[in-house]
Amino acid sequence: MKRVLALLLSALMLAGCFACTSGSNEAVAQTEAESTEDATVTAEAQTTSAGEKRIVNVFTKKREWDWKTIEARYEAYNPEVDLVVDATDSTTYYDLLKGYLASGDLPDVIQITSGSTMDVWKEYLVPLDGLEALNTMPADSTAEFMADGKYYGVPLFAELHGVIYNMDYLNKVGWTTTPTTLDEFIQLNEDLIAAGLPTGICPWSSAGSILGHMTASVFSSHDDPYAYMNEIIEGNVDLTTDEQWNALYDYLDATLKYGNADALVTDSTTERNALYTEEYAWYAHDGSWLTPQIKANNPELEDHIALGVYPFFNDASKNKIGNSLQGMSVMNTAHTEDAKNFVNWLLGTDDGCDVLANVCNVVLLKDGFELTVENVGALGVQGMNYVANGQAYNNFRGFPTEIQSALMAAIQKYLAGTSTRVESLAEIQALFESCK
Amino acid sequence: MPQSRTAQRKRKMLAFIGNEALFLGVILLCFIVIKIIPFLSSLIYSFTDWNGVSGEVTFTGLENFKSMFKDKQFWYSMWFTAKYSLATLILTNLLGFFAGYFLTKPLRARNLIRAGFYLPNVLGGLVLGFIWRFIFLKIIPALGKVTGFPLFNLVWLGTPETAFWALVIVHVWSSMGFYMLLYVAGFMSIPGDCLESARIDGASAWKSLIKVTIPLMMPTFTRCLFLSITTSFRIYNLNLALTEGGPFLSSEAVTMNIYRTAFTENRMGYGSAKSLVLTLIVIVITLIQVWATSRKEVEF
Repeated sequence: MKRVLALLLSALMLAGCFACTSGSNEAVAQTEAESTEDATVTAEAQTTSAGEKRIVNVFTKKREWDWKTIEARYEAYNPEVDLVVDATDSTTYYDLLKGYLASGDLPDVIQITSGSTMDVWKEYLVPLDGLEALNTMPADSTAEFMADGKYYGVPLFAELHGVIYNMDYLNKVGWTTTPTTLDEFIQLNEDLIAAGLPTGICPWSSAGSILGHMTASVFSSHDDPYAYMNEIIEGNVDLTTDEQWNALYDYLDATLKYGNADALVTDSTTERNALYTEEYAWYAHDGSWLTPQIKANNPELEDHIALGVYPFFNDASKNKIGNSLQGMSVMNTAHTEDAKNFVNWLLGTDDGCDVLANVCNVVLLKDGFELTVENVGALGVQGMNYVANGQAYNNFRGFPTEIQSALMAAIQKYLAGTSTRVESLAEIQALFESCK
Repeated sequence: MPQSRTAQRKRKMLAFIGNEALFLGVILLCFIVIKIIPFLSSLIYSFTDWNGVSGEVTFTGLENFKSMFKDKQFWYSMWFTAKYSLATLILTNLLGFFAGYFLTKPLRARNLIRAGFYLPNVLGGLVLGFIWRFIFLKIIPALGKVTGFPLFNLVWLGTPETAFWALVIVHVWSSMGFYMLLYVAGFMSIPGDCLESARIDGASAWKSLIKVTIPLMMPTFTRCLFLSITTSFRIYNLNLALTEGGPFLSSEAVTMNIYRTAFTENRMGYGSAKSLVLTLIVIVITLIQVWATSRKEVEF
């Protein structure tokens, strides 16, 4: 009896273990089923379908895109391929990618940023030289995804960022254009206060946006941003007297003076919610990636929203917006050719670009593709105008990863008032120099 | 005959091993795969410069451990976690003990109150963190505007001091009920005749608590303190959801620092070395605590 009981219990435990395993397999199968056009197909049909079609796995952090439409359009274009999309949140994206790497289950197509991130993943990426899509984009954009003389990514879209203004408020105090200099920005705030209108909101809880986006001008204004960073690392630049860094801090000072009192605990979500509900006249940092949410939450806002330059300087010609490129790469898997074909279709053909622009509302880089307020939104169109006029800096992506958090903390200490400007900049300099 | 006795012994031994394997095998396998192998891998990685992605791994000897001694943020996070652990250990156990003490008395709706105290423990750290983030950022300032009460007018997540106490408050609120249940179980395990004889001898309720109940509760204290220390040193979810380590990394607990090093900064080798040091520190602290409290346990 004891033996029977022992056997029974052990069998139950083993069954439990196997149930867990098959459960996760079912979950994967379910995900795959959900990503096919007809989610009601039977299990047998899925197996047959998977057997006949070649699968291309896409891993993306653009959860808000309409991937169902992209899948449907691509599968109509290439019926031999079953596009399986796994979309996740941007905060966990690279951690999950590492999980896929550890489990030996790398996706075929990934979204990537250039610079240090691409360098880390480069050994798992396939060079994309010769891909037609690369020839349809501006050379300075594609060059960002070049390493060791090869292209490891294709620009997927541009994220154009700066100060966002609600022109309804500006019009009320007689402003018909956005401020182009720091003095103008300050004057606008004085005018708003005098009229009893709300000023602005700063999402400085995430200093990542300051470091990742707003230092674009600090680095990209130099002919060779990497050389400039190396100069800082070597101790040849004194950041406390550096004109660019001080200009960035001047703008931060103005946002703190005129913006919300709880800027240090205000995150981007709070700032965006305020933007959709039109609570403030200006939003210290945001960009064209908001278009799908604006269209969904408050489409009327498109008529009176404006993207302005970061007003760091009093010389208007020095003030620009930021241009952050997101790319797409192909990983070294068994489906490399199919993956390349998908990337080429999405970024190099009118059909693919039509979906990206008209369905996902993203700012494309394909030469000659018409971007309108209807597809990429007001922020996208205004941003591209800045780019066309040479008023945009490409984001610098070369920060050493090991000091990024500490750099953000150094900026936040200044925003919190626990360190002076000189102390904050000296700390930033010391962090760079620690990478020597 | 002796041969058959040997054969019998062998059979018994085999049956014993078979039973052990049947009962323990699966669990042991899970334990090895989920706990032991990752721990050993981490131990190996701590002597390398692996970035967590690359196929290239270089042995760097004690380099990671040397760097760690110069890493101010790591030791700041360690000190922060130690302070946090001490604060939560004292508050959760004190409140849990007294809640448990009063909730073993014959009160009306006793079980309902116990369930009420335990309920926050059911919520996960992430959910709790987001709920309390909203409370600290929206509800409390709104109350401050209405009442003018100074505590409500603090920017709770905006300064290092208040962010620390915000974490402690949420941790204590959520886990006090769990410790209360352990203490309730401890109180209920005390033989009634011990307390009765103390009462007959003229001991007051307070004296009875100090001289009889607490000494007899020492095994429960050992368990509760052990659990408090290990859980508070491993705080991550709540830290992530409530403060994200901010402002300016001032509320970054050591596990978050390790995670950031290993995954965000792509320094898996260095992160592994840090986690190894944390493990050793927690082992030493808990060993001292178990040794200290076990000595005071009394038998009845």
